[in-house]
This record gives sequence, C-alpha cells and structure tokens, in this order.
Amino acid sequence: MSAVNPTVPLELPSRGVRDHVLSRLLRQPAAVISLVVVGLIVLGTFGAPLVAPYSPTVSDYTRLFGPPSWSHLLGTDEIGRDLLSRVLYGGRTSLTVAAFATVISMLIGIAWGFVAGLREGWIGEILMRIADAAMGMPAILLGLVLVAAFGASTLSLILILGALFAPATARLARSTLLAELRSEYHLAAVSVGATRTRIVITELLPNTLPVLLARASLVAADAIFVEASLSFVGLGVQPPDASWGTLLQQGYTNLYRSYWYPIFPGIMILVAVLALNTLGDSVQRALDPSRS
Amino acid sequence: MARYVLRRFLTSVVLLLLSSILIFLVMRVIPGDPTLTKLGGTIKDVDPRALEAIRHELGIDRPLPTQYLNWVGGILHGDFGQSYFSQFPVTTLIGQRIGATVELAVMAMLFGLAIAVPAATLGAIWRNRVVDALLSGFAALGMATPAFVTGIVLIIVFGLKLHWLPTQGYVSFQNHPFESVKTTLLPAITLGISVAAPTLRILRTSLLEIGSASYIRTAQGKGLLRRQVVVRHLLPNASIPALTTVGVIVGHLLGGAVVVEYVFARQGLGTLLVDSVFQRDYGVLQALVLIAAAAFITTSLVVDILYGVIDPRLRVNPET
Amino acid sequence: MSAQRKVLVVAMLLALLATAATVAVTSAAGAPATIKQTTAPLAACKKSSGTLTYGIAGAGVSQLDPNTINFAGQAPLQTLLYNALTKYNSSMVVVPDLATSWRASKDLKTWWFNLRKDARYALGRPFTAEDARANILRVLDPSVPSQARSNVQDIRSVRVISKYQIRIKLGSPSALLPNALVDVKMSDTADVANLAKSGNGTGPYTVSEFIPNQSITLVPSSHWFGGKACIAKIKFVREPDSTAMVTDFKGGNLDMIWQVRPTDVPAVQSSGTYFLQPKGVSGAHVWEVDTTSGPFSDVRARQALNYATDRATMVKAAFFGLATPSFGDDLISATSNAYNKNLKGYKFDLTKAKQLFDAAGVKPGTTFTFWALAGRRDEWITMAQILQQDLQKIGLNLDIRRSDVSTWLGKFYPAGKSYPGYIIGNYFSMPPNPTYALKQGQFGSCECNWKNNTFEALAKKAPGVVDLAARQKVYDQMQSIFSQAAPVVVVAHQTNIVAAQKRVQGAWEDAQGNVHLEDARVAG
Repeated sequence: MSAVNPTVPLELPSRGVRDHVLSRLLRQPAAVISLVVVGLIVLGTFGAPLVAPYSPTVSDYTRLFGPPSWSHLLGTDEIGRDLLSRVLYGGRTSLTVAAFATVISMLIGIAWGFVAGLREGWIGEILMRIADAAMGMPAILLGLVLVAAFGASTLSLILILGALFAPATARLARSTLLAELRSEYHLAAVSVGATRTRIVITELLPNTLPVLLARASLVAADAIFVEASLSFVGLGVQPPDASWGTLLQQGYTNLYRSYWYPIFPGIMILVAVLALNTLGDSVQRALDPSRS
Repeated sequence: MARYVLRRFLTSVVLLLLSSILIFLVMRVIPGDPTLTKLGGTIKDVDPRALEAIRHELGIDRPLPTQYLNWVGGILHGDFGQSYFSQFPVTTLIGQRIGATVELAVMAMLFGLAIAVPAATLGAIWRNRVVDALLSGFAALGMATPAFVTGIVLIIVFGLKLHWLPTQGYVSFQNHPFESVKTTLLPAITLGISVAAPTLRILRTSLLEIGSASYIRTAQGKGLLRRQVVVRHLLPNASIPALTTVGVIVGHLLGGAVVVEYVFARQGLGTLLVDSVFQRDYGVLQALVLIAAAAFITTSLVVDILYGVIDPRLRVNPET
Repeated sequence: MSAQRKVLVVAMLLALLATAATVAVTSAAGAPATIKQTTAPLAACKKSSGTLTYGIAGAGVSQLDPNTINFAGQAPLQTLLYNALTKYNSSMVVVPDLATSWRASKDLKTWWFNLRKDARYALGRPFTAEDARANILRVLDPSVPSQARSNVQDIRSVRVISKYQIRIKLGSPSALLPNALVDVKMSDTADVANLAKSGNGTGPYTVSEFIPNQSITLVPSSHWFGGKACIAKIKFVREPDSTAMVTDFKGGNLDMIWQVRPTDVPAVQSSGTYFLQPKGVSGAHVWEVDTTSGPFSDVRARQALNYATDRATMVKAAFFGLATPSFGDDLISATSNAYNKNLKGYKFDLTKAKQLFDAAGVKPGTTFTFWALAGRRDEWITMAQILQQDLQKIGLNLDIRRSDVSTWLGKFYPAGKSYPGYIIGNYFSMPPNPTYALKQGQFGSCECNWKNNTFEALAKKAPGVVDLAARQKVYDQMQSIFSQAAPVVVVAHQTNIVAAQKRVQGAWEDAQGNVHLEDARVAG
C-alpha cells in the first residue's frame, strides 16, 4: 500500500533550492486540502473532550441502537452510548496508535537502513534480504502472529504496527543514503577528514530526512488501515476504548440491526487515509518536481 | 554476471534456512497450545493422560532441536508433515486449496491490469490535468478503502440485493469452468480493485520518469503522434523499471488474497493460513510460511537476474 | 476550483455515495421475534432429492472422529454419519438406534443390550458387538479426550455375550445408562488412524468431500439399514462471521443457519423462513472465577459479584430479551421442570455488592480482568461493559481483554489452573438431564476448581434414585448448595436459535441445542 516505488532513489534538490519546497508544496491544491482535512481531523479528535457532546463511556439503557436523532446525531450503540462521541474519541485512539507506530517504524527503519547502507558486503546484503522477506509476507498475517504472541492492547498494537512498517522504511532509508553517499558534498566532507559519525549526524541525516518524512505520512495512513483490519477480526484495542477499526467491526457485526453504525467510522477511515496519502504524495512531489 | 548470480543465490539459500528456523521458533514461543485448541474447551474432566497422549501424537513433547530436525528431514523427503487437527497431510490440504487461490490471484491480476494499464496509458497520451487528477484520485481512493469493506459492499449489492452472483463457495475450474468463474468473479473484482490502485500508481510514476527522457523527445520531434510515442517507445521502456516492483505487487496480491478469501468464505491458502494461526496448527503453518518464503525469495531472485540480463548497467553496480 | 481539488471532492462524494448505497440496501430493525413451531414427523423417503446447505459462522468442521468431537456446530454430523446404541427422538425420549432392546438387573448395575443385525460400515463391514465394546472402551480410555466419557465413567466392564449382544456392568446403580450411551457413537474402530478424516459410520449419509475448516459434503450411504436417505446432497459450509452468514441466508445461498445471534433475529425473519423450536434450554452464559486463589476464593466476593451483575439489563442489551436471566445463580434454567423455585435470589444490588466486597477484603481501586474471545460471542463484551460501568460505581475496575481461542483457553482450561482476579466468560452446554447439567459444577469438570463434598456425594447418588420425586429433592439440594457457594456467576440461559428456509422440513433441535437432520428433507 505504499505510494511510491521505494527502491528508486529520489534525486534530492541541492540545499539552496530546498527552501522553495514549502512554497512548491503549498502551491498544490491537493496538498492544501489534505493538510486542512488532516488538521480538522486532528483538532476534532484530540479536542474530543471539548467537542464531543457526551462521554464515550456513559450508557443510556433506554436507547439501545438508537437511530440518528437531534440528541444523538449519529445514533447510539449497543449499550446506549453516543456514537458521535465514540467516533471522535475513537479517532483519538486511531491517530495516537498511528502516530506512535509511525514514529517507531521510522526510528527502527532509519537505523536499520543506515546500518545496512553504511556497511558494505554481506551484512548489508543480509539485512536488506531480511527486509525483503518481511515485506513479502502479508501484513495481516504478521500482525496476527504478533498479536497472538503479545496480546491485543493499545501498547502492543503500537509496537506491532511499528515493527510491521519498519522494513519498507529501511529500504527507502538505505537507497536514499546510498544516493547521498555519492553526492558531492559528502565527498567533500570525507576529503576534509570528518569522522563517520559526524558525517552521519551533520550531513547524511538532515539531507535524507525530508524524503523520509514524506514517507511518514504514508506510513501513518497504512497504520490506520492495518489497525482497522486487525480490529476487524477482533484483535484491536480493548473495550471500552474504541478505535475507528473496532467501531467499524462492531457496526458490521450489528449491520442488520443498525445500518448507520458502521458508516461513520468507515467514512472517517476512508477520509483520513485518503488525506494522509495525498499529503504524503504532495510532499514527495514538492521535493522532486521532475516527478510530478 | 556469474558472480552476481552466485552471490544472490547463496544469500537466498541462507535466508531460506534462517526463515525456517525463525518460523519454527516463533510458533513455539507464541502462547497458546494446539493441544488445548484440539480439545476445544468443551471437553470436561480432561485427564492429564489425554493431554500427554495428544502431545505425543503431535510430536511436541520432544526437545525442540529434535522436532526441528525431524521436520527438515521430512521436507527433504517431500513430506511436509500433517495438520495437528485434521490428520490430513499438509500437501493434501494445500492441494485442496491452491487451485482456488491461484484462480483468484490470476483473475484479480487480470482485472487489476485491465484497469491500470489502459488508465496509465491514456493518462500518458492525453496528459490532461483533469484526467491525470482523476486517475490519481481513483488510485488514492482504491488504496484508502480496505479490501474487506469493498468485498462486503459488493456482497450486499450484487449477492443479496441483485442476486446476480454467488457470494461464497468455490467450484473447481476443471469440473465446471463457467461456474468456477462465476464464484470467483466477486472476490476477483474486490482484489482487482485493491491491486489496481498501487499498480496504476507505479506505472504512472514510471511513465512520467521515462517521459522526460531525451529519446522520447526525439521521437516526438520526429513527428510521431503522441499515441505512437507512448505505445512504441514509452510503454516498453517504462515496464522495465516496473518489473522490479513485481515483488511489491505480488505481495499486495497475496496479502489482499488472504483478506478477500476470508470475507468470501473461499477455500484457499489464505484461509488456511489464518486458521492455522488461530488454532496454533504448527504443522500447517510452518509448512505454509516456509513455502511462501521460498516462493518469495525465488521470485525476487528470478526478477533480479532477469533485470540483470535486461539492463546491463545493473551487472556492474547492482546497488542502483 | 482546480482539477485536483475537483477530483478530491468527487472522490469523497463517491465514497459517501457508496456507503449511502449500503444504507439504502440494508434493512433496519423490525418487530421482536416470535419463535415458530416445526411441523410434525414425516413419512419415510422413497428417494433422495434436493440439496441442503447448512451455514456455520466463525469456525468450521476440523475433524470427523465422533468420539472426540468438541465443536457443537458439527453436532448434526453425529447423527448423519453415525449411530449409537440409543438415540433421542424429536420428543426427547430415548429410543433404540443400533440396540433394538435392552434390560437392566434389579439393582440397576448390570445391563444387557441386543443389537440390530443389518448395520454396516462403508465397504460393507457389518457392525457387531465387538465394535460396540471397542467404541465404549475407547470413550472410557483416559488418554482419549472424549466429551461422552464423564457420563459413562462409571462403567466397570463391557462384555461381548454373543455376536449381537453385550453386557455392561456399572459401579453404582444408574437408571440413566441408555441416556448416557446416546453420545457414544459407533465409529469404525478397525480404522482408528483415519477416524478424523474418513467419517466412516453406519449412518444414513457418507462423506463425499471434506475440506477441513471449510466445508464438508455428504451424500446418501448405500449401505444404511434404514433404506433411502432423504436428501441427495448436504453441504456444511463455514461462514467468516455471523453477518456474512445472515447475508447469505437472506440471499438464498444457505438453507439453514446455526446459532443465529439475537441481534440478527429480525433480519432473518421473513415469510419464507422459520425458526426451529428447541426442546429445552441449550446452554448458560456464565462467568467463571478461580475459587482457589485470589479475591474470589472468598465466597463473599463471589456473592458480591452476583449482586453486582445487572442481569435484566444485560439480557435486554445483549440478547434483546431472547434469554432467561438467572436470579438464583442456578445451573438449571428457571424454565426447566427441575428448577428449584425456592432459591434465594441475587437481585441486582450494588450497595450489597460493595458491602460483601469490603467484607471479603477487596479494596476500592482493585482491578479485575474480564477474559473473552475475539471475533465470537460479542454478547459477552456487551455484558462485560455493563458490568464494567457498574463496578466503577462502587470503586472497582474491570479490564476487558479479548484474545484468540488458543490464548483464551490457555488461561483457564482444563480444570486445575489458577487465575486469580480473572473473570472468564464461558458457555456451559445444558444437557436435558439435570444430572448431566449439574455435573458441570463438579470438581474436575468446572474450571472454577470448586470442591464441595456434599455436592459431590449428591451428584454420585442422583442417577441411582429411581423415584423421580425423590431424585428431584436431590437436585433441589444440589442447586441450593451451588447457589449459596456461587462458584460461577450464571448470567442467563439461552436457547440456540436455528433458522431454516421453508422448503426444509423434518429438521429439529434437541434440548441441548444440537440440530438433527437425519429426518430432514428438502421440498422442491
């Protein structure tokens, strides 16, 4: 589900041109819209305590599976909790899981990719082959096995999703790194006699970061996606917490009793993934105009 | 060239071996015991002797290294072991289901290509901003919708409301080709949509990259129609880099197949895989994951070698 | 508006439209369900016709050995592929199956069974007393995990008297041996190695294709002693989940569906479908706790949990009223004749619950863990969340955890494991006979690890009491002890809901919630 072929390295613009990346980004309407949408979602969900009309864990036993009404805009769930509030708080959970998972996968992936890139020979090769093999397995399967091993809880989900997306990031990190190693300022740094560590920290990392950050948006979208799939088989966050994935699953389970229940979580997943994917693409396009 | 092939081959073999050990260990480490799942939780007054007898029958009471060596030894003889639950040999179980998965994958790939290739080509020919935006929009939407959602919507619309197509089950191709295609149609469309999106994306990116190459401009300068330029020069050259992503596409296809088979209750390797994880059917799971790893590693190897044959630049510096 | 912006808007509108389409095509809730009667028994069939497709949600048939069956969903196979010495008819009376007649000694400790002479396994091998003996011994073998074993455990010897007669000797008197033998199905013990995959029995049908965990197809058996089986092809298919099962049923792809959830009942009901009328309560939804460790080793804590369980709301929310709340914390359902009406109940009372928790030393802020299954039994999660909210009102916390089957089982099964502070959602199947129903509270059976010597003694005594009124007194006493000690929390009793299309006739559901298709036929 990654947008761009991760094995073909991007041509990074030289430093001077990079300052115009932001303006290039903002000139794309798609980028602006997706930024706004993502912003709205983040505000709405993380501001849930202020925005949500009810608490997500308070039940009204007289209104089980209530249809949408003025008092409950999206209706109520199986034990009478307000669905709008559940969707908002659920968004908080989904986005938190996605954000942490992205951060973890970026950290692991960058470390993995850099080590593989900096060490020539067998080690680098094996590390990359392991990444290949891990990418070849369906994410769902790996997710299932890991959840079976470590139990389903918010924390384990974050770790599992982080581990799941690390290999693709590692590949990208490595190929970006290798492109950097061939650049002129890197040769200059080496000839001046800078140590390896210094080069990594002051030259390589800052130059590869933009590309990797562009990828972060796509990883976040994937994380929401896979979390929804895992929740669909019942292995997502635990009740009474909800995420969009578990709400979708609960709604689907009760589809014939309340057809409105799964629609809103489903739409939220769709919109969030769409917006994050578009944002990620736009950033990548802004970084390398020859590819737009 | 020979050194390149040999190097890749050797790493692949080592990787396969490592995978086999890893899979074996992971299954033993995960909590949950096939012994208990075999009992199902409904049999009361379970005598410890029954548990021992089951463990012995499944061979899991022996030390780990012995189990591993027995397993590997069996594989080298073509015996992939037995399911812990059904007594069927793993090869029989795979044989029952592989037809369904292959049929699904092939049909889905055809659907996917049928959507992605013309779309990408037309996009490259017209180079219209609206068309381009529509294409990327469709691709984005296709990738934002989980396969199980698409599948469920299709089942309800085409199966329940319109009664046009069957929504579950499978008829083998050899017996009734027409019926077989009918039962595979909805799952294939679901998976096809899922796969078309990334395929379209990759093709489009590829076409755009090559599109700025100088020989394309030469072709245009010669006076060829846009259509001719795309079909005769752009497509063939763009498909070469697209080849490297075959692995990614096949990965999407197989991963999506697992979900789609599950949603459509289709007998296939995907449902076999999911069931064996939930039941802790080590016998089946080990064999399946090993076969999958072997298939994947072989495919990468073949693609890499092919790529090396096609593009001589790679033989010199394979890191490109 | 730029092109890209237009596209994004269109994309989102399309998404909304697709989901709105789903809205339009799925129906909303209707009136509460009424469970209708099945038709009366039908005449024998002259030929085999029609196809019956039977849907099971969530799990499939994984193996065919009738002596080690552990999945209620495949119960129909027990009577389609196999026979036992005795069987239940649709009025729940024990009648001859492979045994044509039987008699007992005066002290009810020795029994003789005469067998029919025309039963055959596949490939024509005749069923004889040797096979009967071998199957009974196999079920008694402690190394074979058999569900039927606990009911026939008291058998001391099985002897072949002649080719078609056996003699069974018991350790204590029991009038219930013919009942117990219903579940000892006669498999082909000459072929034990293949039992799990062959399905070789003496019954009306035989296996034509078996894909484990996915589907199994049966066709009439040519060597059945009953003549012609009524249906030309019976197929059991596994559906990924209940919603998919209901979708396929409504679409006409399934003829019968097993274990319809209460939430789906209005959707399943239509003019072309009906529900099987069960003969008794199928099972009880219980919460098991470990009575030997942790907070629940104190009876007051268990009683407190009973008082904290708002059964009426749970039945309303999780079962839509289609279950019977258990106010007496009784294994026997309030709708059963054997129910002890004089039990002191556990009304929902949070104040009393808090008092008892305090007395048992459970401090405010303590956290219990509710242990449930993922992907199945969503009703438990609904009930657990209600309990969670109620416990919070008295200062206690409940963590809800769902795991896959293997991990779930590993925590508490089989009996003898220690799991302090856990409340485990489980389902106890309720056999029609109170002796077998109450057995589930016994030490070794119950994962709650509860041992009460009086209860055990009464359990041993009951089957030998011939006078029904006197036996009922024993049952009453057992229920009273169980209710006071509250080793598990019995939340509600429920009957298995099975739906069928009108063209299926002759199917019936026994008192344990198992479906019987051996008399079924398909019209048209």
